[in-house]
Amino acid sequence: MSTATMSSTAAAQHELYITRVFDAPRELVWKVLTDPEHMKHWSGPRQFEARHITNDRRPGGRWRLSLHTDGFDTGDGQLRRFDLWQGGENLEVVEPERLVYTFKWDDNPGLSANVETVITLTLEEHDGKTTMNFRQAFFVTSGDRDGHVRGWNSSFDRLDDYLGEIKRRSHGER
Amino acid sequence: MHDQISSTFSALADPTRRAILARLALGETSVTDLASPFEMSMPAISRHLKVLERAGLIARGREAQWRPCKLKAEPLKQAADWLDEYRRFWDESFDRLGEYLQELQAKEKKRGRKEELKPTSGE
Repeated sequence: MSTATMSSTAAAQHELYITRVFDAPRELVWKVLTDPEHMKHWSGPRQFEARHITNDRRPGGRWRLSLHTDGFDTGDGQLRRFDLWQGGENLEVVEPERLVYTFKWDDNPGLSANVETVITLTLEEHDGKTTMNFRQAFFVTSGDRDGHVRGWNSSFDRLDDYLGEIKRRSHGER
Repeated sequence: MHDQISSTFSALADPTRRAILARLALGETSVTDLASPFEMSMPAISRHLKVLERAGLIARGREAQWRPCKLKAEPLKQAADWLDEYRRFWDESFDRLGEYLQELQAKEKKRGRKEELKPTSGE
């Protein structure tokens, strides 16, 4: 991949988008996503066990959990015990269709960066199956974050439009 | 590494700066040319360029009026790699979520069948 292609792709990647379809009704998916009793069964990678899960499912409510492992190889061949704490605040809670919350790791040793993030999650049901759209945006200051959450509406928020405009202009100049 | 990632995301948080980076990905550009698509004053563009330069995402030439700007790809690649780590984290969690949903529903189905077969005993 040429530098130019890679850079323009990388430049656009300041957010993470994931879409999944679950073979389950929306109410159940919502419950599994937000109820601590269910969250412990899927939160985190397979070698971790989610513990101490709390989730105050109201706007302004906080959530927290720790991912525990007894044998994690950080790369030097030694297996270490880890408790990685993560948590945040619920910003919007519209059961069973929309959830917006902040996500941040505590200052855990071994984690390379501690950027605050905002996750927006929507659930839509069709024919008994639920489509989940997940988006995680990364911020460094709460000012950055609040600007995003309130709906940043720069006319150049649509990167494709801008790139198209640039190409048109540069072709005109040649 | 910690500071670079934070600087990179702070720089990327602004849509104007993302647009500037996208333009620079197409090649070295003068400040005047960078500014032209925006309805923004030169000082405002300069402020954005300063943020990008301090974050190590662009290099600016020293030739007086020109000061062409050039993209530095490495920090963006680091940020992209870091995002990929998050993607793997969530992919694995959502895989587990899907499996757990199936388990739950299978259990419910079994329970439902047992209830149907049980003689009404007033539980």
